[in-house]
Amino acid sequence: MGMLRKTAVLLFAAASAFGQTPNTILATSYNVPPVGLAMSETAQVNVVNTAVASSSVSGTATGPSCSGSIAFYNNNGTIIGSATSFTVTTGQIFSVTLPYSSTVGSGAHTVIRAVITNETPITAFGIPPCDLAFSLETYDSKSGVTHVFVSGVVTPPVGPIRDGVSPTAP
Amino acid sequence: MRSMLDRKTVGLLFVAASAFGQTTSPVGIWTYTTSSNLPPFGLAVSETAQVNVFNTAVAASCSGTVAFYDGKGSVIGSAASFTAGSGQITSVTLPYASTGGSGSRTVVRAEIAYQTAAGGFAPCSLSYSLETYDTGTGVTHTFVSGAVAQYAVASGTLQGVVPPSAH
Repeated sequence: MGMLRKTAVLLFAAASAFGQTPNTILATSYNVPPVGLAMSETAQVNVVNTAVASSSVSGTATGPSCSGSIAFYNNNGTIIGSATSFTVTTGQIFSVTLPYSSTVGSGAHTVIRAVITNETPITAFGIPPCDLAFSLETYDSKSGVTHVFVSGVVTPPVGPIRDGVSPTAP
Repeated sequence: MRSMLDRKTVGLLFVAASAFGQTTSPVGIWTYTTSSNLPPFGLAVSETAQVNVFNTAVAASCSGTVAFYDGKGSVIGSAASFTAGSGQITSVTLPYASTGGSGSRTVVRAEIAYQTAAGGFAPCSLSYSLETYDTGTGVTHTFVSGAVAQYAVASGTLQGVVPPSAH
């Protein structure tokens, strides 16, 4: 599956962030490659939802929407701070930053990584269209000039769900 | 396989009502608008963003638009139209001052769209790159490249429309 490993987990949800009660939430996580961060730098993850409303998506009663969270981890696998939740509709960009001072790293350079989780609610109306793309950047904290840039796509849920077939509950 | 960078957002348009204000086919022929959404990227006060499109087709010209969007999904200024003949490179730039951003840095994205005739057999093939560079020195900071998939190619996803067999 390439550099970005995908893990999908089916979770029951008792409440909905979308005003409907989902039967299931499909959580898909992507591990962005580790990146070095200098004392003078800030890391930033950007996500955007490029989905457009389409009548071809079965049962779509809501507009395009992607929800999930972004978390940074240190080289020991420990989360840095806490994950940040997001919800983006069509064309919206959401960004989370991590300045070096928040990494609790030592020395001039530390290595961190980011995990992006896309949580797709599955309701009686189907799922909202979500095409989630991301980029990870590091940049000079003062000038804003970019030093590292990595981009990719968070693949939508598997076909049967996209086609409106309810998944089997775990 | 859905791929954002080469994913095709397809709309059916009568050429007579082309969004590009030009007629590329006889009236009544269906055309498709194929779009590639580039990943979001940061732009510093000292930087300029640039999208380059390159027509790799042997004997054809590609017409389309390049648009930049801010973090709210609003277009920055207006989309820039281009027509690139075989082997030609067309570039569209976005200096930080045009983004409407505040502070030392803002996040934007770009979208490339071009028209393909019915059946997807128009011999137009676009490659692109996105760069950010220091406005003063021209030194490149960010670089992303790819190809805009054509309708004739089986990859990507057609959303909700099937070209009519007759019209």
